[in-house]
Amino acid sequence: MTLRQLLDRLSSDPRRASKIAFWREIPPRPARFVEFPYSLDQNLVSALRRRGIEQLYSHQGEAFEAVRSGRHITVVTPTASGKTLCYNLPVLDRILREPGARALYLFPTKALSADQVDELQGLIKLLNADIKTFTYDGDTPASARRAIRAAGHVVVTNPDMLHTAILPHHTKWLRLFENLRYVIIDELHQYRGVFGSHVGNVIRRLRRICRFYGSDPQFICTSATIGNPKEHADRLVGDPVTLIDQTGAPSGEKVIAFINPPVVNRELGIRRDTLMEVRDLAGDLIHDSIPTIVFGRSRLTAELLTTYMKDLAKEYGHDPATIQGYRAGYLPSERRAIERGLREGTIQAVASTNALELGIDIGQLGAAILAGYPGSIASTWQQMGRAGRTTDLSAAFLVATSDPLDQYIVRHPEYFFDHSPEHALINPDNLLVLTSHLKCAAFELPLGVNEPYGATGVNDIMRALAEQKIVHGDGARWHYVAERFPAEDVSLRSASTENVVIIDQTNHARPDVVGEVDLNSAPGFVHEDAIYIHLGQQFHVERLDWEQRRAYVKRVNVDYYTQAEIAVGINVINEDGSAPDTLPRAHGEVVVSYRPTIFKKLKLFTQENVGWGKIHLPEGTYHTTAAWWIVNPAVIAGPSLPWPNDRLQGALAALSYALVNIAPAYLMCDRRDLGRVYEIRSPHTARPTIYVYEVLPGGVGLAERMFRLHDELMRAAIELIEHCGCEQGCPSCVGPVLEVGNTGKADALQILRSARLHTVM
Amino acid sequence: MPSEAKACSLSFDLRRKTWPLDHVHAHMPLETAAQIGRAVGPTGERVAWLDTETTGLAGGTGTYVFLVGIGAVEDGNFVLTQYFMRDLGGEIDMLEALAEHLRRFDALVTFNGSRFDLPLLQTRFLLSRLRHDFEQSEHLDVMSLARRLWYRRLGGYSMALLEQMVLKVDRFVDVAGWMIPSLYVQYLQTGDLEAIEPIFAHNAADLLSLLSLHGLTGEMVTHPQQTRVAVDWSGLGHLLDARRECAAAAECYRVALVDERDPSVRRRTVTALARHLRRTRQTMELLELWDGEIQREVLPGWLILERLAMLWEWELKDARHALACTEQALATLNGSTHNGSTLNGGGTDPVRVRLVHRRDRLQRKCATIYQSLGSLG
Repeated sequence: MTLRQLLDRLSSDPRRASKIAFWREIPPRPARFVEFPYSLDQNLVSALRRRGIEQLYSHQGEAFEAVRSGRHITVVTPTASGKTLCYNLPVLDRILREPGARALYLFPTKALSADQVDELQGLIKLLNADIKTFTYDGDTPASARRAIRAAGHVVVTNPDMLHTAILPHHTKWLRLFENLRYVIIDELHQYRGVFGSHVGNVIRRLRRICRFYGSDPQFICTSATIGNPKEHADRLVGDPVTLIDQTGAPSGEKVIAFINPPVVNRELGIRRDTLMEVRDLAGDLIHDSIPTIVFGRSRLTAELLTTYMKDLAKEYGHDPATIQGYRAGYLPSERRAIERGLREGTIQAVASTNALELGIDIGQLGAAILAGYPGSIASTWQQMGRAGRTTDLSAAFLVATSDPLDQYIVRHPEYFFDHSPEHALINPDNLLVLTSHLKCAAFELPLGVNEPYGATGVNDIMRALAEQKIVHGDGARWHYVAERFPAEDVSLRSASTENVVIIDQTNHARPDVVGEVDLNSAPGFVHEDAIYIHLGQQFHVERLDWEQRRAYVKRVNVDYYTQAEIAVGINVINEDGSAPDTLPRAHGEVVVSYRPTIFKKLKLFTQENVGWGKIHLPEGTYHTTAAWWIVNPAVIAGPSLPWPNDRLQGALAALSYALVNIAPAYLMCDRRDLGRVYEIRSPHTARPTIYVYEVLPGGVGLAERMFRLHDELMRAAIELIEHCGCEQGCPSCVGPVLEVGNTGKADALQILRSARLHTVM
Repeated sequence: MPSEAKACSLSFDLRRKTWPLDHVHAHMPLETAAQIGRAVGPTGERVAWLDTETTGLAGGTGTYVFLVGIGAVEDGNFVLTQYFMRDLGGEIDMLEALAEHLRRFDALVTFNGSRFDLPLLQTRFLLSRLRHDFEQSEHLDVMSLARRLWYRRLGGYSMALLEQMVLKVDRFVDVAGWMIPSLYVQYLQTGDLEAIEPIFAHNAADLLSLLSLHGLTGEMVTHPQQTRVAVDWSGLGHLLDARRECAAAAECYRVALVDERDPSVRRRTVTALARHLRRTRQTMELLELWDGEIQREVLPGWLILERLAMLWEWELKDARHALACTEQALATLNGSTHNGSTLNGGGTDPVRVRLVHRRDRLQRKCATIYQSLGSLG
């Protein structure tokens, strides 16, 4: 069956069609071309012609002209629209005319840079010119580094290397910095949140070093669709950036379908398991050999789906090796092999986390299945964009889970299609982030007392650093005088640079490293007796050596997986803002403490609870930001008596559940970026209070934005609860009845309605 | 005893200390050390010994050099000039004066200068927008020699360790190297020069020891057999080999082999000695060397037997003996778990493949010899 026939059957067969909550056919879009700019180097023109490129897409032409006139640009166009030419053309053109010119390419991941270097080198080969491109990352051998520093026209690296290896040793990169004309930032939308706030500072440092060497490079950025591409680029680059967002690339016809699994227990609001629904859908596609990618929201889901799909392949007589999993934590070589397999067609289907959402070249796939709403409109478009890079028909399916946000989306498709995607938030002036990078900046070059760094005056911070003997002021400049190498103490990606290494001891004589997991996720994934799944293989965690950051595992074959529960407490440090109302609210700095308590053993396929165990790990704490809501006693007073504690507890659980689940729709964040805590009598407010906090240490402004989006959030929460078909609560609105009690749903709604909401627009 | 002089500019201090050339440090007069050290380099007419004190040990652009000591033989004395940065803002003045001073020399001697002092100074010059090209002067990093000569014997080759174990120099009052950066930062805050006075002495002691160590290594390659200090003979041999003093190198290898138990070092040393014996056509000595190794039982049997086979075949022209050695080598390999490879069949073990190949070839060769003998008879 072809994809078209398969789609026809899906929409006409009543049993299948009943699950379709929404169906849209997006017509093909023709290409818009422009002639090669007349100023484009003729050598480059003929190289492009030899590649079969006779004209440019309109956005490529526009990008070239904008760069030529000296502007910073951001190109926002879909996957496979020829984005790379938007930066490769101006760069190569410049180097051909000015052989001393240099360019720096920044990619968020190694895999991406490997892809783009191949493409760039292909073009250079056709040019027959002496243009050298080098990749400089952790894998670059020391012997090659010297040559790269001196001779590389194009240096390809990532923000982390720029931060720890290049900027602190900039004198070795004299040639690069003296002649730096362009800085390419690919996948700009990846630089958001804490990571983006760090990268914004790395770019400030980069521009500062360039100034020292007398260069002032132009920035050429590319981004997937986000709500605020220009604003985001302006903040990251630190200067106004010209936006190019009208694509000239063609695209094939595409079907987008939202699938809602049928309700199996109306009273409890339980729907058929999403993964089972995905399994059925993937089964059809695998059966008919349509190249397919399935996105799971967690590593666990991705691994479970891999297992299911391998079984399906076996059932249909296909080689199970044509089905693969893909996620962070696989070794780089494993990942490269899977990407190659997808491009070359030897791998037919892959179950992945959002690790493959990025622009890694995996060729052209026919179908994408999203097992659950990825949490943001932008991610959804990116994951759906993984199918249909050709002019052919493609299909993307969003299979909803019972989560409130998923149910909200499938019931309000207009929210998804009409709402602009989320805003990428960064805060490079976050005090913690800023301070870390000021140390690095002073290390790189003494900081003048009146030197601008970012938007704010930084002398107060420098004075504080001087008190800690990290810098020394001589009246005119701040000099770095601490002995530690500051960049090593600052990880761009998360608060902690550490990983727990997972060691397979199945063969005692030859222990083998199978992967690693970052320190924050480790308690939930590799606690003792956890089942850790890697490449579809189950491992039992025998021992977790927390001090040494090592987990020792053995291969097993069991019919269950494990899920950890974590107890969370919250302490308010400082209130940054508050709004009195019938539902008073505030936001500010908090300390979160967390301790994994128990884990559950859940049976594969049925998710039946088959056992549990205790987790013995130390409590961890970190600073972050939170928003909180205080429930007014008047609201919860019954006609005669106030609600008893267990009723109040249920109401708070229900309310916080709805809020924390709907909020990601309004913040560009993942559901897992937010945590919730509720207290029937908070030590800070002395009232019943619910807290929504940012999981990332330090926070990036999500809490503050929640505080400001109050009215919209409350309205969405009311709508979510009102429109849910369940009676007393279900996982799709306020959480299961077992957790919120019989009155939780109604009480949460009552609290929400008590809030005075201001009409918008 | 040294004499001292001080000079001040606004932003940096200049100090001079002089020692008569017959001053003895580490059992060697300074003059002797300066002369005999040249045997190991550097080439160049005017040599200076250089050592720096810094605000950190990690390197990179944020590490300052606050004290530079330059020693040289001048007017019949050993003269140490120390440039000291009184405040970080005075760096550019100090570097300018330093560059001027360094122009007097065309060769430098340091301890770990290639990885630390010189790149760091180069960076400081760049950051002050001064150009001084260290790559233009000749440079000898005595640490690279020290690593060869003492690492295996002492388990390290830091200057402090070498002073204690090789130079036998006692520093009665000294500041530990790791404390120096924080002492200087403290001085920046308090302005109390007294507190960092020991750093100047430390730097001076480092420079004298650098000169002595340079002299000692020079003496060792000049008169290897007169060496009285503990040394890695194998390392000294390789050093001499690199200088094409092969006979002296061979002697060192022989001394090294007396008690060398580390298989990889022994293998390197035996191979180097064998190369020398082969080049000088001392075939019987060579045979004796490999035969002796069999008794030693440090190197793997197959390795020795393979070398013996080569020796019998090509130098002694005895194919039958060579074949016997090869077969014995194969038998040894079967009995051992060479790299664990015999566990998985051994079919792809390159050593086995090589030996089987040699055996087959030797078998054919022997058969031919018998045939030709037969036809003669």
